[in-house]
Amino acid sequence: MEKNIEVQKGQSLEDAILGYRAVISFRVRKALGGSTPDWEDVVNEILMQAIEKVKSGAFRGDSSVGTFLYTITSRRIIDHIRQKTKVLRHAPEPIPFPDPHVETERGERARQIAAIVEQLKPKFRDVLYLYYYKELSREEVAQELGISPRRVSERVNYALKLVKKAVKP
Amino acid sequence: MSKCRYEGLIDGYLLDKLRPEERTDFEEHYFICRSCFNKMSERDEIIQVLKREGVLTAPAGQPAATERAGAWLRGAWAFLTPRRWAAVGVSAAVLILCLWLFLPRTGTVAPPLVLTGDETVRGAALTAVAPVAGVPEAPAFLEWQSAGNDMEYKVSLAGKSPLMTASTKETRLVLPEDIRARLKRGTTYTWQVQAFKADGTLTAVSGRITFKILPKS
Repeated sequence: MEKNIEVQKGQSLEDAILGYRAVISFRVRKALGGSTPDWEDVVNEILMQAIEKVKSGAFRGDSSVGTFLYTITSRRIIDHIRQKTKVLRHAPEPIPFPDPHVETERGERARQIAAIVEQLKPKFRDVLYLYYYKELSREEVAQELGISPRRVSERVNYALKLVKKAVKP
Repeated sequence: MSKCRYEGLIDGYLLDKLRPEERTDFEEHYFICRSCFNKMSERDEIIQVLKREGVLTAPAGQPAATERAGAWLRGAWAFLTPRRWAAVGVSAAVLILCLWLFLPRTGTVAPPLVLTGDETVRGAALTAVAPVAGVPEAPAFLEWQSAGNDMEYKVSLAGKSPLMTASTKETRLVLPEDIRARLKRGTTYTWQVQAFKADGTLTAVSGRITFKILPKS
């Protein structure tokens, strides 16, 4: 069952759109690469374009906010990639300046995750290695370890649950 | 709380395994479904760490080079029941028998020999001198008996795959250091020499000589 994200009572549509920053950021980073310095600018452009459309009445609420933002995001990503290919190849790229606070927090969580994974029993580490690191299918992992595909899924899910539980929110 | 039907696509999306239409559908979905987006974000964070070098290692007792071969063998072993094994055995025996009965028999083709009245060839085969059989160290050279004056020799050396081929007018070929370094103890190697006259005619061939670098006692 889909859980539609609706505008909360008392919340303006603009605020609801800004609440999608994380979702849009994820999509843009996946399309352009997290190390691309432009991704934050692209996200800001998408949000500004969406708010402008709301203010101008171009968004009439025919679709959900999520679908409206997905469409703008997809188009903006394509436009950005097309524009990038026209930029002079030898133009120097600006060096990205990541937010140190965000980077520190992200790095700390990554260290926690790595430490927890190291403490997992070998049978859980093995499935994680084959499924995520080697990117084998469930069936291939099952053949490799001599267990059923269902058991592979159980171990993967259990291992992920252990990791999520142990990482501080 | 009921599970969203798209949750099963999270791993496929993060590992770029979805078909294009599935990917587009899922991307639109997580703009709508906060639950899927949150689960996907958490999973992505974990996967990024798992993919870092050194966090996970291959399962013990399964060297990477034979992983797939082992999985295939186990799969084949599980697939073939005793009855199927018997059928495979009988089929293989029948096939071998048919090949042996019906294929034309061919002996080894003798190298073409061109003789003048004054020339002699020391037999159809070149005699290898060294290395033959077991040797204590990786040989520094390959040596054979001369097949006549003004001959050019082509030497081939192979292990499980070809290692080198070289030509010389001498009856000895010094092995390059990088080739020597690749020769391993306990492995059987094969070499062969062909003798050519100045006009390129093959006049003599050695047999395939095998040697093995003996283990250190």
